[in-house]
Amino acid sequence: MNCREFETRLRELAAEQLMAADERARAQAHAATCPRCDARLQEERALTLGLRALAGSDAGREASPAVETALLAAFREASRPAATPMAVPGPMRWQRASWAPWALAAAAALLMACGLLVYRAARREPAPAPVAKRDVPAAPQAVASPERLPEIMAAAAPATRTPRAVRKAPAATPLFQIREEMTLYGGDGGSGEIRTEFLSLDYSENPAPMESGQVIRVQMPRAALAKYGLPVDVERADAPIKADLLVGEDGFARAIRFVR
Amino acid sequence: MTTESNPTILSDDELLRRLRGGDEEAFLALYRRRQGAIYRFAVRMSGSPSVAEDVTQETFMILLRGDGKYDAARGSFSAYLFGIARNQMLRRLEKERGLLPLDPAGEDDARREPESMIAAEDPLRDLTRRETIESVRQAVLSLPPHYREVVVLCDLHEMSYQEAASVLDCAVGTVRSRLHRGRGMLVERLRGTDLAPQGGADSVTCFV
Repeated sequence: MNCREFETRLRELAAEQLMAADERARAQAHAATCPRCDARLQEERALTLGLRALAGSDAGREASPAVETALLAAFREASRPAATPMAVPGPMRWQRASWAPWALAAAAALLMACGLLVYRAARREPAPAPVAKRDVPAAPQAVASPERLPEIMAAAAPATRTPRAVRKAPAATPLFQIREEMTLYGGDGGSGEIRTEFLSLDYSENPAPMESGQVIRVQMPRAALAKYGLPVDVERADAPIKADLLVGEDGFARAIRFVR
Repeated sequence: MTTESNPTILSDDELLRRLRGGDEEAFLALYRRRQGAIYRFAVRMSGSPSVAEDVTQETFMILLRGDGKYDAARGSFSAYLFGIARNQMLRRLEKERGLLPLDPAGEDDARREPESMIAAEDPLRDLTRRETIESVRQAVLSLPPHYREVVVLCDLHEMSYQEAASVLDCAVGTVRSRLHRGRGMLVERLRGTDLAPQGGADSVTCFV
């Protein structure tokens, strides 16, 4: 055994821990012939005893009763039945209840706002171009006006008209370029409308797949284009712009496209 | 109380399962079983009883909230709990880098339990032993955190390399090399210190 090998076994030797008999014999033989390694072994033995004494002096130490009291109070608070219907019994409720009511309220407000804007738009705007089959669920629940539902369902586009997958909002791009990249549903359907691609509103790393959803026509200030990296005509910033929201079955908007 | 319903006999995993279901007795049993080791780990890492209590409380709060993802296949519950405490401790040390006193004036003296376990037959021997222990304590606290934690886990908590590796989420070889280096640093810092009380079964050799 050389000094380097001996060094790697110092702790076990100093603590007299279990090791193979022949290995111990070789280590001891080396220490007997190498003063430096023997001195190192003595130092390690002293250190081991000092650390054991330190561990022994701390052996009975514990956190004060106040910590247990505080934790017990927290446990009981978390275990209390909550008033909201979304409450989950037990400690796990802490995490879920903290965001669920907020999310419900936000989703409800979004749907109400969309419904109101769509109703107003439907009374003035011509019917939108037929949408691809994938955009419309089997039983849409909130559309611009219920009487147009059969028309929208019947006009579900064939596969060639299905929109491209939604993508992240692009960097600022002039409107005229957007027009060139746009996916048109059967041309402009005779409505004169031009639409951008759907821009994803889901910025998580692994966006949840969407089984079904619906497209809702809304109206918003033109200045909103800036949020999605699109340029805004400053002189017309206050003028409204039409948009289609792609809303998932969970009520959250997944994508948006602008229309003119 | 039957064997099955006595929480002090149940395994950590079973207590954790019951705790998640809102069983207060299970929570108390698990806390009382594990809090001492967590507290001692935190006080050995920080040198501060108040910091150690904060870390202990935060560790069990994280457990209660279910923020961590305990997986029995990856290691023992003890290693999991130590892992939480270790992360909390490192976060504090990082935040208070250079500011956390090794021996806060008055705080340790007020909170540290007296070492009445040590027989005071020879007051001088007892004093020397206390000084020796204090020298070792300060030397451990002076180590950089990543060396300090392996010394604390392996030499003070007597964890195996494997268990320490589970706590630290690193390879066994990393634990061994850091421990070797950490102990080497301790030897250097304690050189010149008299660790040898005169006589007695626990006498140690003076460092030269």
